[in-house]
Amino acid sequence: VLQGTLDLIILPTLATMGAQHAYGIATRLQQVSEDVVKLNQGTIYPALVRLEQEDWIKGAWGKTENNREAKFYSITKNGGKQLEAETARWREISGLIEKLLTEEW
Amino acid sequence: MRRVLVKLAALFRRRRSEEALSREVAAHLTLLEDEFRGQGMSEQEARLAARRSYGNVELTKELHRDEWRFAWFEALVQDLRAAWRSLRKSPGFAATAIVTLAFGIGANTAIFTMVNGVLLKELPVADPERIVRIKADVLGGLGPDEMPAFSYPRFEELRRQETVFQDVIGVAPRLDTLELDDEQPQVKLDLVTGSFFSFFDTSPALGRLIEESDDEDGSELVCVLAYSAWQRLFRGDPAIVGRRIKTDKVLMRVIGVAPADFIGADLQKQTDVWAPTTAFVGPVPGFNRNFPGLQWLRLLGRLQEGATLDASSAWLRDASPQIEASVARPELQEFAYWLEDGSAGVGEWRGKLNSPLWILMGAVTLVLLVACANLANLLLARMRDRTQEFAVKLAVGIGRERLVRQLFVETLLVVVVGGVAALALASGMTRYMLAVYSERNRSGPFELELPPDPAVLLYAGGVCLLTALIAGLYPAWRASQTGFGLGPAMNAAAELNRKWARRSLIVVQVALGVVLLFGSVLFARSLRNLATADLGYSAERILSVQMVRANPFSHGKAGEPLALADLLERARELPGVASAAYATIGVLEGNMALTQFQVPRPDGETVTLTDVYAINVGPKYFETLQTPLLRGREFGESDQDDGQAVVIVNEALAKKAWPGEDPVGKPLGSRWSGGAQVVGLVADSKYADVREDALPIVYRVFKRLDLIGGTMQVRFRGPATELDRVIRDLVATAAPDFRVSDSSTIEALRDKLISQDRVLAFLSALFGLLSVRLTLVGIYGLISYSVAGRTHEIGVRVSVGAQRSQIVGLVLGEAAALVGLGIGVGLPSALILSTWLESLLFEVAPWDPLHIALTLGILLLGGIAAAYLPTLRATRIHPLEALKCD
Repeated sequence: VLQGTLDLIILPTLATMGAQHAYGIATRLQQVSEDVVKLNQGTIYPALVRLEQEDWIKGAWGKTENNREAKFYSITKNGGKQLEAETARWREISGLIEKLLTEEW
Repeated sequence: MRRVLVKLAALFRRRRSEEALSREVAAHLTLLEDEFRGQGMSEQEARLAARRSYGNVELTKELHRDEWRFAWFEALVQDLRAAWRSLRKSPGFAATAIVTLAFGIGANTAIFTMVNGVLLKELPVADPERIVRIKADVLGGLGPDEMPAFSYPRFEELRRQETVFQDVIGVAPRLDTLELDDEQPQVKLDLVTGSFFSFFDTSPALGRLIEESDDEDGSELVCVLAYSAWQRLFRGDPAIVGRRIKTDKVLMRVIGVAPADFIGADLQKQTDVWAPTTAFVGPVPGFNRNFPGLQWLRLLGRLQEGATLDASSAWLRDASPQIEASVARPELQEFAYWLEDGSAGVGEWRGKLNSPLWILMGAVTLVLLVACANLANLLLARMRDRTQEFAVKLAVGIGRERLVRQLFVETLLVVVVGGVAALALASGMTRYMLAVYSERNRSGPFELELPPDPAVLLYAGGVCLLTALIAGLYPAWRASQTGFGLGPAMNAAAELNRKWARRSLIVVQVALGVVLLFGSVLFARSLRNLATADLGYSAERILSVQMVRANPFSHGKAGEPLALADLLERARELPGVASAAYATIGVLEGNMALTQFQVPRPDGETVTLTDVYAINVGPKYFETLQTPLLRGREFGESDQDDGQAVVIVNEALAKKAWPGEDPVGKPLGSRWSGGAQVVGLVADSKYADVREDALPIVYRVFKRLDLIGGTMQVRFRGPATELDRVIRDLVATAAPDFRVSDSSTIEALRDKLISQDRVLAFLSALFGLLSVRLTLVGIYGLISYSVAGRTHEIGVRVSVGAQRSQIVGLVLGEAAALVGLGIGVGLPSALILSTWLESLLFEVAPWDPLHIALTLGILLLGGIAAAYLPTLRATRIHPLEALKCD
């Protein structure tokens, strides 16, 4: 998985679904990608650390519905801003790529 | 940026984050397990499935850690710890390696300290490239590298040459005895011309500095203190400015203190006091600084902006006749001026030590290479023992890259520890060199800023790193190529590779050792030649007592010369004294003056002889020195009376003046006096230096009233120190107006003159033997391993009937082949390189078969000795045990 791509996937996940634990994020990722992205669930940890250090997400220990202990991550204000910026940038780039791919030469 | 701070903080919260990580991973796994159990799996199945789904837990943790702090730093600390543990486990290896490196790096640092201090340092001015030394071709009297001295009128005339010079300054060093209330310390006083401090663009730390007006005739005598002297002698008392200080020669008022970082125009000497040239004291009253016949100032010039050294030098040479014509009374010699780079100031050491230091630098570089090869060899040998360790490490998941790094860090640790030891060693070696060189120097000690000089430390660090790279990288890379197999058999190919690498290293070491050893043999021979050279007189059992007037201001009191005559008579009667005589300048004192003589020919023409030493000697001089008298007679007491002037000449002069004729009875003229008659012919002497070719000498008779000081040569029996004391006492009682300025045996004078050769011979021998020792240890190690590795093979050979001698041949053959190959490479290199040494050698031909034989003999014998023990071990291998051991 490209570094940075994972960030862009985690941030909107948290933005739309609210606080989630790592397992939840990983599961969500698999659902959304319809198992196209095959990755070990552990792989998202480095991304989580990075995002937390950047102060885009924030982790807090809590309980799951099954009363299991887990660390729940939620998006911060900064994270929201970052998501907007990233989304805009992504649209721009993907638009450009789209254009490059479809345009006749 | 924010992440950098967070990561930095994380370095200090390692344990807590580590716990949090484990907790989170565990929680994640629990959630996965719940999920899988929900799908109907058993407890056991669910746990395994969770693990599979999660991936490599340790790897994830590692990746996680990489993100949360500076992984490389953590890894470095880990590697250092591992390296420390690993070295602790093999103290023998560690000690050998560290000692090897301490010598290799220490020798390098010591020589670099000298190179840096003497050859690389520049005057503290903004434009060192514009500073030039003024030199002149005179009628001999100077070594090629020494700076000639000039009279004050010449300085003034040269300073007027504004076509080339923006400014010219003159410096003359002197040793004065400062008279303080409670002590009389010696101070290094530099007489300087008026623009000296403005030349260096220096501002005072206190008071003011010497200005042009201070250096004019008739102005008050002033002086400026060096910062260090101010602190040392006056405890930094600011009230010193305005006070008068008195030395044995002058009374001066202190006007200021120079800044702490200003050491003066000589970079190898810390001057204590600067005084204007008006503080000059001549050898005889009435000689003031303006006297044109006294050459005493060394000159530095600053070229005009944009002027080049070559063009300015050429211009000055062309202008020399006009300059000389305007100097009042050019006296006996005419100068042809020229310029050379003066960015290093007036110090004499750069010229003197230039070639010896570069040669030593080359030698220590070779020593370091040998040390590197040795270390690499040790490391390769260690690899063999650690194959298993590496295989295990690789199996449990260390990356090959990480393994290389870990081994490299291990090498680096050894090198750094060795480097620290090297610094201590280097400072000792530098002190030794400075001490030996200072001893020889007449104009005061040779001083150098010793480490920690930043350039030296930087150099030592660089050398360490380079050493680690050269010696450590290849073995580390080889180690990383270890297969996963655990037995030696699996790594046979790698082992073979290593063996070839180790053999090549030995060959390189032997070759380098040949070069170093050959050089040191040459220097040793050269030193021996110098020490045993025929001087033309007896160097043994002659004490040379130099006497000067106790008070330089008193001259020519009636009756004094008789005191000296009396002194001589009483010295001759001392027990243990065989003979004694006076000379104005004794042998090997230096300070020789060259003059000219006229030889009237029978046809009425006059031939002028230049570059002749003129020495005044008294009766029995040649008898005392045991200089062979070849024809005619020695001076007698009657020659000292005013009558017919007589001289004695040496063979070199006779050959030049009257080739093929008997010089006795021939007339000889000089510019000062009328003709003299030659009454004797003596053998040639090396009068000023052991290295000089026999120069023509005219010995004039020592007139009674001439004496302003001189040397008494005393041939003696018994201990020199005892006689020295007796004579000093005698001078104090019989001639109280004189004092002994220096007294030593001629042997000691000679040893001082060849002290530089002693340093070279000693250091090159040290480096040569060091490299040979390292090489022999390497051979020993290699052959031992080779024997150990071939135990099986040798066992088989013995069991099928190999003789003891065949086994010896097998093992020794390997050693001999390596040494032979090394010699084959090293000897031609040594012969080629030795042509560079020729200028430093004395009567030594590099191609002498004796040197070659000596070098090869030492290495071959050493090589065999090193291989002997392992060979012995090989012959004792018992076939049965050998076959069982695998």
